[in-house]
Amino acid sequence: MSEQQAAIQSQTPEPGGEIEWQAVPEVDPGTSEFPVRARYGTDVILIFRVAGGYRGVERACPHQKRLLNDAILHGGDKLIRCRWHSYVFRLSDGKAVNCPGYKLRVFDVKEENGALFVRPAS
Amino acid sequence: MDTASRVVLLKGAHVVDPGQGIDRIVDIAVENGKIRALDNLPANAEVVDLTGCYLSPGWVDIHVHVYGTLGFADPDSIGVYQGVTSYVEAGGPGIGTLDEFLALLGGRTVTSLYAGPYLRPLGILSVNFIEGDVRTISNVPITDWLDFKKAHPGLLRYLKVGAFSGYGLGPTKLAKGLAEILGLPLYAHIGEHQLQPGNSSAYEIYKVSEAGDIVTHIYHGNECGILDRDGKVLPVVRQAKDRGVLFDVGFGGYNFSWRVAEKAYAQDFVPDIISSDLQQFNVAGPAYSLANVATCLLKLGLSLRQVIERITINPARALGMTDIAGTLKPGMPADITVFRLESGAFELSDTVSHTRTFDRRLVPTITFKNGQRIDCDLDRCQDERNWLLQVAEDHEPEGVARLTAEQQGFLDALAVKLAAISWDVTSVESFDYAKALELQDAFHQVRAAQHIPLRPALTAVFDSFLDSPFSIQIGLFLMRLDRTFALERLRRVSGARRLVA
Repeated sequence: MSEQQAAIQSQTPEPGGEIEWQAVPEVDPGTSEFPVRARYGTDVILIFRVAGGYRGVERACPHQKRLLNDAILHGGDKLIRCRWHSYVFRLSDGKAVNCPGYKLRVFDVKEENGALFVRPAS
Repeated sequence: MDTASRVVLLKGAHVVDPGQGIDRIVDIAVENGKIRALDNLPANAEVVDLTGCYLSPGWVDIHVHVYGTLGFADPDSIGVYQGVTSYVEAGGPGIGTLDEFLALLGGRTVTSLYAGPYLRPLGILSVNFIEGDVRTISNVPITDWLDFKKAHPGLLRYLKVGAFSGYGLGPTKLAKGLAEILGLPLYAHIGEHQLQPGNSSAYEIYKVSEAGDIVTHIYHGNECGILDRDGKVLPVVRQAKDRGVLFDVGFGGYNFSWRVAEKAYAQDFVPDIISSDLQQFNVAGPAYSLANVATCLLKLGLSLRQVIERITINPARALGMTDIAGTLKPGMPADITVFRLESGAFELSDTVSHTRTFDRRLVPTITFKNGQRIDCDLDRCQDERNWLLQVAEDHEPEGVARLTAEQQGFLDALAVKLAAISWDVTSVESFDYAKALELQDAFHQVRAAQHIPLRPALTAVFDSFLDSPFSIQIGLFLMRLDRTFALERLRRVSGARRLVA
C-alpha cells in the first residue's frame, strides 16, 4: 500500500464513525507563528489561529494555486481571502463566497494538552 | 461646496492640463457647474486656496467594472471618491443585458458612467469562464445593437471583445465588424491566455485593429503578450502602434507585470492610455485605485505630465469625449481632480506579487464633478460590503422589509416560474450559458406578465438575497444561487405579503 493510499485509508471513517483526529506534533501552539504549515497524511495544510480556536485549510488557493500563507481573514474569522485575486471562502465548509464553483478544503483543528490535532472538516 | 450658481476660484494650484499645454501655477474658475474664464471675476467669488496642490482635468478611467460579476455595490467608491470623474464599464453588459445595466445604474452615480459593452449578449460571465466560446455569440442581433445605440446617444463608447477564442479568429473579426457598423472603437482584451495554452489568437488583434481601436492589458505577463521570447516588442505590435492603434494599461487582476512593463518601456513602448480595470477581485490589492495604477507608470519612468495626459485628454480623445471631458477649457463641465504628489517609500505590487518601491505617489484629495465638490476617500471602496458579494443565506436582508406589494407579487410569481426549471450552481469546469439565458428569460416573462417595471423587479430579487445591493445580470445571479435555497427564500419573502394581506 502506498503512502498516499495509507493516508486516504486513515482519513476514511468506519461506517457510521467519525474521521479520526491526527496529531500534528510539528506544531507547538505555544511557540509557533500562525498560520503554520502542518501535515495531514500526505497533505500539507495551513493552520490559522481564529477567534475561538484554530482552523486548517489546504495550503494553496484552488483558483491559481497561490499559497495562502498571507491570506486575510474576514467576517469575524469566518472567511478567508486569497491575496492574489480576492477569492473568498467560508472557513466553516470551504464553500466559495464570491467565486462560484470553487471549493477550499478545510480542516477541523483542536488543542488538547498543549498539542494540536487535525481532521478534514465534515 | 455647490457651485451651481456662484463663482468659485480655485487658487494657487499647479495645473497640469496637457490637452491645453498647461503645466504651471494658474487659477481655475468655476461657475454654474462649468469651467469659467478668469476675466471679469465678481468680487465676491469664493476662493479655495489650493497652494501646494496639483490640479488637473477630472480623471477618466476607460476600464472599470461597476456592473456584473466583477462589479461593486458602491460604484462611486472607485469614481469621484478616487478622483475619477468619468469611467467606462468595460464589458459587464452585452446587448442582452444593457437594459438591466441602465435600469440599475443609469443616472445613479455621481461619476459619469459610460458603457463599453461586450460582444456576447450577456456581457462578461465570470472570471472562471474562458471567454470566446462561439456558442455565446451566435445570432448577434445587429439591429438591436443599432437601435440601442440610437436610443441612448453617447452612452456606448466602445465594443469590447476577448481577443482569443477556442474557435479560431472568428469572434475577434465578428466584433471588429460590429464595431464598424456601430461606429465605435474596438476594445480588445489580450489577457488570460494562460487559460488556453497554445492558443495564439491574440496576435491577430494587432492585424485586425485599425487606427483608433484600443488594445488593453498591454503589460500582462501571461502567454501571448507584446514581447517575444527574447523580451523584444513584437514587430506586429509595433506595426499596429505605428498604424494608430491605441494601447491601454488595463492593470486588472492578472494583467500588469513589472517584468513586461519594464522591458517594453526600455524599448520606448509606452501606453497611450492608463486605465485600472478596477473590479471586486483587485480593489483590495494590488490595483487599489486609478491613482495607484498611475503611480506605477510614474515609477516606470513616465513624467507627471505624461501620466496625467494618459488619464485625461488621451482617453477623452480615444472615446470621442473631448466636448465633455479631458480639459479645463472655459465652458467645459467643471470636472476637476485636485491631488498631491506625496513623498515616502511606497511599495507597488504587480498582479503576480512582484513589487517595486517608489518615493512618490499620486493621492487625489478633492474631486469636482460638474462643480460639485467631493472630498476624496480612497479607502471607501475597501469596505467589505462594497466588493464581497455575499448571499445572505442565514438571514433575510433588511431590503426584504422594503419590498412593496407589487414586488412581493412579482417574487411570488417568479418562484412559481422558477420551480419548473432546474439548475446547478455554476461550476468551474463548465458554464451552462443556455441555462443562464433560460433563467433570464423566465425572469423577464414573469416581469411582463406582472406588469412591473424592470428596476423594481431587479431590486426585488437582489433585496431578497443580498445585504448590499450589487448590480449583476439577473440570469447569472439566479444561476449562482442554490436552487432549493432560492425557491424557499422567494416563497418566504413573497408569502409575507399574503400573510399581511
